[in-house]
Amino acid sequence: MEKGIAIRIEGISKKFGDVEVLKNISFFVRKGECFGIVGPNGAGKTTLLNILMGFSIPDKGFFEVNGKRARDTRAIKREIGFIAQEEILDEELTVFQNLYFHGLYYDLPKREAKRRAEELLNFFGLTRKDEQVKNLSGGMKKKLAIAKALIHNPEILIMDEPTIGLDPRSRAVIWDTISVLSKSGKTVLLTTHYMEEAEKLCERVAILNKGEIIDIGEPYQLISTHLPPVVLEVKVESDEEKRELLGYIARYHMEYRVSGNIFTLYPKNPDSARGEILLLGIENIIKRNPNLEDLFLKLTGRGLRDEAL
Amino acid sequence: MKPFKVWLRNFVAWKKNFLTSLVGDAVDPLIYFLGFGYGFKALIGNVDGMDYVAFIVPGIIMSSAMTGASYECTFGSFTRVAGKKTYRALLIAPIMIEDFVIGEILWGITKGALAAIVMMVFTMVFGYLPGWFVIFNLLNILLTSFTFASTSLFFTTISRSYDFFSYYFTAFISPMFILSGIFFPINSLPSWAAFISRLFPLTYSVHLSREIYTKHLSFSLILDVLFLFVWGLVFFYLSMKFMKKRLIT
Repeated sequence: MEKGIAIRIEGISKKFGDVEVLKNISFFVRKGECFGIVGPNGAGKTTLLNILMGFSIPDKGFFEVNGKRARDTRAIKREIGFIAQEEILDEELTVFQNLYFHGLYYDLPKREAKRRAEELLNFFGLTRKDEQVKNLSGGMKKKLAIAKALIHNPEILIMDEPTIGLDPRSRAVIWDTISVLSKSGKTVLLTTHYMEEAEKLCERVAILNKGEIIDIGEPYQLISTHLPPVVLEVKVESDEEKRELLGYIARYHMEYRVSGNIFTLYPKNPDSARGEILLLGIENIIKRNPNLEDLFLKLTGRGLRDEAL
Repeated sequence: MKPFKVWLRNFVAWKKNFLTSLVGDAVDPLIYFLGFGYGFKALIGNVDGMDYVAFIVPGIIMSSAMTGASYECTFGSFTRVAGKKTYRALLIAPIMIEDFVIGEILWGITKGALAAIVMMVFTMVFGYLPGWFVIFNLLNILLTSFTFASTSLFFTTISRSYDFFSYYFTAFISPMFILSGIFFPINSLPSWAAFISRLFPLTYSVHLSREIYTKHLSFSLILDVLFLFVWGLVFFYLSMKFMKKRLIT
């Protein structure tokens, strides 16, 4: 395995019954990089991570983690700190015991496990160390899960939807934490369906839809390759305005998506398009830069022609 | 040793309310000991030349081992596999399913042994003190606990819900409790029932225990040991196989 690669995935395919959950997935994650797999629910993100962790066996393909081969699940787990969406905390143990035992599972000597646990409790501000885990808030549980993943000081962190189900403030805290860890040199592989999260944290992203990778690259580069520099957001106030706008879109074969009464248009020439739409009598038009969400919707085809017709 | 860490985790989670748990494990056989033992003693007198309570004590102790191990590796293990999914917290670390299965069985053995020892102490308090050689029976207790821990864990691996265990207990554990020679010699049963009884592992535990209690040590006891051990081993293998099938997709 070449130097500088933390995770290499080659041609992974997986079927559950007749459903192809992953189709020939290949990509690599560089050492020290924060890499995001973005996709909607059901795209196959969790299955892919389960394969890396040995919870699921692929039908085809192979992977390496820090040079450790797919077959050697125990060695691979030593390279990784894994933060699943849920259920990786031991609810029958206290906050401290969760960390301490996790250290023992990694063969840390008792004293070292205790020291690491205390250190991580301090770092994450988890002061109620003798609390039963089930009494913690969602944000605290997520912090504890990340602390657990760090107990053996791994080079690689894998996070499955790290901020799903968290309130905005906890989400910001977790983003800061991931950012700090990433800057400290850890390799991070995360999945998310929040485009904002991927844009904020990830140096590169893979767009996964229905088990296939559609494109891989740096977020801004991907956006500028696939989308115009400016998009229009148009709010329609009545059915008549909606008909007018759809007619206009159809005339120019313009790409668009719609959510409620907000249309997002991707015109080649935004300024003239804006003028023409104003002439239709529709006044609520905002110009903005395209984001990863626009890109995702464009590449996966979701949202295009979804609700409008 | 990874399985021992799984064991230690279960021990720490359990010891928070160990007293309730111990009492729970011991209370059922205790009631049978008092009810059957002292209740029937007056009616029955002697069995096989023994005082009736002395006759049932060796078997009651083994039934404690059976229920202790069985409850732990059904309801307890199922909670860790399906209810609270504790296994996920273990398997994200370099703990493999093999380690988990062995750890669960070791813990089941511990719980079976604890229940049996509580029962043994209790019968001693009531004056059934057969002497120092009773320590041989500790090996029997461990072996019996292993047999039932493995069998129960196998049922856990194929169980879809807690309800499934009521079949396990009513169709397997309860008949065994009554028909394995704890309360009367198997020979008193009709021959077909005695035959079924000889298929039950508890029958061999009880026989072994009673022979130790009455100091009838002989090479024939090796058969009892073999039956229990092979039975346990088969279900240990099946537990491993089906646990993998259940947890790896």
